[in-house]
Amino acid sequence: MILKTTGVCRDFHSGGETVHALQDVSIGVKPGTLTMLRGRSGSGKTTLLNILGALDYPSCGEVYFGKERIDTLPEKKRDTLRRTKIGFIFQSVALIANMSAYENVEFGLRLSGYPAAQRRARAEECLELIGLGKRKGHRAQELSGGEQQRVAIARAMAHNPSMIFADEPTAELDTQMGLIVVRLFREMVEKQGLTILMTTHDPNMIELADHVYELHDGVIISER
Amino acid sequence: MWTLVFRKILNNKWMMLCLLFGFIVVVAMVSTVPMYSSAILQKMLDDDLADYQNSRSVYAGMVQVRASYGVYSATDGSRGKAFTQHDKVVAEKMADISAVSSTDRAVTTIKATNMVLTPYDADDVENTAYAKTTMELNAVKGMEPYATTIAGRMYEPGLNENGEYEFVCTEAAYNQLSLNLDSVYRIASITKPGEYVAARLVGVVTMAEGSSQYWYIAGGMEKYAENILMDYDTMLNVLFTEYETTYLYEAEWRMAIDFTKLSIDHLTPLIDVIAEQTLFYENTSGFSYFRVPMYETLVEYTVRSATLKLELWVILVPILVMLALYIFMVAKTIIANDADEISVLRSRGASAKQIFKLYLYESLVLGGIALLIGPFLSYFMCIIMGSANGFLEFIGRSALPVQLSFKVYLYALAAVVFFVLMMLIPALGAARSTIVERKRRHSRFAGQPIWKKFFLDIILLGVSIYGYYNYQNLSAVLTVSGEDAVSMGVDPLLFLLSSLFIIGAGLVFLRLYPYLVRLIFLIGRRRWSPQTYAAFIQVSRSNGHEQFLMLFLILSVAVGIFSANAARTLNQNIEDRIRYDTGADVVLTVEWLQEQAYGIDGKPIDGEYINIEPDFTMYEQIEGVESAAKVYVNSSVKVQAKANMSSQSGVELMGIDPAEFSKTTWTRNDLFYPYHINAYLKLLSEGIRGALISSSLAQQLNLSVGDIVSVSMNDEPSCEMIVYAIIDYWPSIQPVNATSRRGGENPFIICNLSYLNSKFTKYPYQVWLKKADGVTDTEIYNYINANSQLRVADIDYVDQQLIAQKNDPQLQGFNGMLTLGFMITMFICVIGFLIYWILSIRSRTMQFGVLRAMGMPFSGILWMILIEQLLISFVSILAGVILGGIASDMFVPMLELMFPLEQQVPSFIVVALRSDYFKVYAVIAVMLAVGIFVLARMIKRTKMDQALKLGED
Repeated sequence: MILKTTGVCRDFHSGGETVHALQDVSIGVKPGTLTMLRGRSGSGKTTLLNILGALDYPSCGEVYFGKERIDTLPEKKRDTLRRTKIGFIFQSVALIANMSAYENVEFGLRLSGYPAAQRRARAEECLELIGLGKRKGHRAQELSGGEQQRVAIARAMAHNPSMIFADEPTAELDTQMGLIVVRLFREMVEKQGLTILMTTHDPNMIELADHVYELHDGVIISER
Repeated sequence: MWTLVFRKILNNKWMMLCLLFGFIVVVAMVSTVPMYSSAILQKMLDDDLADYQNSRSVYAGMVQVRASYGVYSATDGSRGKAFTQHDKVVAEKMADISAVSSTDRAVTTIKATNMVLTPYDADDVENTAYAKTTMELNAVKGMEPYATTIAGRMYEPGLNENGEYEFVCTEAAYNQLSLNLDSVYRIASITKPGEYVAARLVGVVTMAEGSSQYWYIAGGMEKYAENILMDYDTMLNVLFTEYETTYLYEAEWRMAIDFTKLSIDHLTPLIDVIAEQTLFYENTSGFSYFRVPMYETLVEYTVRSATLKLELWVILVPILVMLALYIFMVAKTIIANDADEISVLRSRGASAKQIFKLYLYESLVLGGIALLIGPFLSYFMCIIMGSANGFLEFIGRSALPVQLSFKVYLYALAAVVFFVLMMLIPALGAARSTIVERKRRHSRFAGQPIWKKFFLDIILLGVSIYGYYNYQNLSAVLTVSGEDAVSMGVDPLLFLLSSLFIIGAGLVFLRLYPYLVRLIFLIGRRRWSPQTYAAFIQVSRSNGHEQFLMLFLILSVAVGIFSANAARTLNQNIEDRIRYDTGADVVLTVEWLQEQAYGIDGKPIDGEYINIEPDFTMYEQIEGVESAAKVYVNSSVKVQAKANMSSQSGVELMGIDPAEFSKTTWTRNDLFYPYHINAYLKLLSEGIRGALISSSLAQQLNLSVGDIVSVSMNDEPSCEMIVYAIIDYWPSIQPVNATSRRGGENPFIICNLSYLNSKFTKYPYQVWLKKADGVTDTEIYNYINANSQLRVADIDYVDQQLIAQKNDPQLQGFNGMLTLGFMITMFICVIGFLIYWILSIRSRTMQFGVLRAMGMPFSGILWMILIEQLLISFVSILAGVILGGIASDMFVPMLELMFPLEQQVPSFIVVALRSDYFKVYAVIAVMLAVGIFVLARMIKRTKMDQALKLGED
């Protein structure tokens, strides 16, 4: 298992009330798979993703990344983890405005400590992979939504992370575009051996996953 | 509509507050110009007119009209007719003056001159002594209630039962003319003594209690010390018409304007009336004299008022530019924030006009509040200005009569209108924009800002540099500067040029800076850390939004530094001149006791006295005095060169004790460059016969060091001195004297007092005092007052002169506006800085979230912000410092041109005190620190997942 949790729960306190977003979640992700977390809005899937991706802490339980327990790591180590071993793709596309497609990908490489001499080649390679080699000089805001998301994918994978987390990556794309993206994920998983964990509430995507966890009200209700 | 407006305002609370704040400040600052100048000039006018009166014993507010009737025929009644006409006209004219000022009633006097008064029963009228005494017959209209009789009674009108005219006289006249009470006299013209009228002296009068004001206006009772007074109507209508011997010779009308009630803002109508009447009286026959003594002073004040206002405006210019920038920036931000809402409104059918109206109403609300509050803030600003004693230096002064007048509100209104219009310009654009245009504006190819397009920066810079090189020619052309500027006229042109230079150069820098940033970025593109990389991208590609802030900072800092240098230089030079002129902290003129001189035979020599030198330790021991020096000054000695026998008289001589003098005198390091004054004093102490002479004297008499001169003074035999050195200056001596007969050069010679004492009779010397630290003039004064044995006849205080100089309205206005301007600028800078950065951070929370998710540590984000600060804020400040320095180097030395030619000593120096720079830096440092602290907290608080809008599900 590349990612494992045992008995994770997450509570949110606001105004005297407590919301149990997650309760007793135990999942595992095998390397080289495309795993999906499925559930409706409010099911807690994004919360779980955050905890898994070292963006958030669980209220109880344990999270293991590889052999390492990450929910007790100091902040700095978690930053390093995210920087070198993880790649993120977000729902509302989070490219850095004013940077071109190429620069966005190259920036990700720079941030992760990729050797300077190889950055250019790797960035162009990734852009080719997602089919935007010719548009690499365009600024983020000049690309269409689908194109931007694909650039985000390129950026997320460029530094060869152990895992890629994607939070509703197709939510803001039309169905056709969305399918292209997920098919891209499949390709990455099969051809490059990447491990991808994504959340979705779109039932059509499920077919393409290796593993699906279904969440409802913060509890895993099924597993496939 | 209105609910929409208020809701909109409330939604945008903080930004609206910032905008409102800027608005209020602008209105307040604009209002200070009329408010402050009126207050300070009013104070000065009051003081000056009071001084005028004290020094010239003429009532400053007097209005005098005189008409003489010699031109008219004496016999056909034309005089009477002319007088009636004149009287009527003058009454109208006086009423015109009363309409524009506060006046007392007018007093009319008529007189017949060259009359002789002889006792009625004298036999030989022609040859009596009285026949030679001429006097005037006077009548002062309405005098009776203002005079009390000290003997006899007041005259009755008309002829009395004996057919005599009745008259009274003053006590002085009674004695002067040797009159007798109740005697009858003949009154006749000196040309026709035979044709007389009979008149009886019925009383002797004096001023009634409390009528001194009346008599002051009437010319004073002293006027009647040699004349007699009759009833006005009798004289006019009976005496002058019925008898041909006595004619109306002259009439005088006098009125007093209460100048304490003159308002500086209402001088113009009065001045116009007086000018018009001056012309009128000149061109109307019969009138021989029209005078309002304070007229010139009033005119001078309107000029002063204009000059002062101009000076204040010019200093205000860069500050207004900055405030305009601030308001513009905030307004634009608000509008940008509204963009979505506007789009929604537009999509629902609102027209551009309606949107615009929304903004208009919003601006009007803000403008209205600013109009209400602004002038009150202005009031406090004037008080701050009034206590400024230099750049960022304050002193307690008597209060300025600051008033909120109608004029102030006019200025305030004008400012509101102007800035409302300014705020509406971006609103115009916003109202009409569509989504497409909006998005396009964010793209790479958005149009250039206006100033870049029209090369405003180059133009401004060019104009200012042109002005710099042609300053002297320009000054001559624009007559506001130069000779016309009254007193310490700070040249507005100079400040305008420096402001233009700073703005222009700042803009040029902003034009070039993006290229510089890009260059640096490209150089290290490979090697930059991700934080730095991201920072560079942010700075160089955000479409110039940050240029507002940068210009802001550049202007504030540059103007601050320039102001500090200019103020410091000006104030320092003014101070130095006064110190040099006086010579030491306090200069005493001392009277010596005298005793009878005795001849060799032991008998006192009639009329000859010896001066007794007082015990000098008395002066050394004055409390608060650190050291004292004897300084003998004789302004007119004769110096003759022994070699060629050429001589010069009228030379100024100073005899001193070099050691004492060295400890007491004021000096400046560059005065005797490359030496110090002590070097010369040491020379003097090395040889008792040594003398230091001025270069003018050396030139005149062809002298060089080592030559022998003979010096004679006070009609005593001369003594010989040796020239030890030739110098140009000496404390308290002006080497160039424009009023001296020689047309410029003021020769002087400095020698040892002990030598003088051995050769000449001792004469009183001045005592120069150096005060210990912290001692005030008042303490010295009190001590001297309490110790009359010091026999001090006169005291000259440097500090008092400094204070008086500093109270000059031009200088005060200068110091005040600079200080206030800087304070406001810095304050606005902090707010503008915070607004920009807070908004910048807020709008990038998502970006930060992404970066955090990508693994950038929190410190990395901070580092990124820091680099941005470096590239934006820090660079701007640095540019501002450099620009301010350049502007100072260029323009501050020109302040020298303001000083009158006669007073070129000591030479003008440019002063840049480090402490001033530190003050500027300190303020900026605090600003940056506060700003960064606030930002760091903001960023820390932002939760990553919230930033990324995760967890929304």
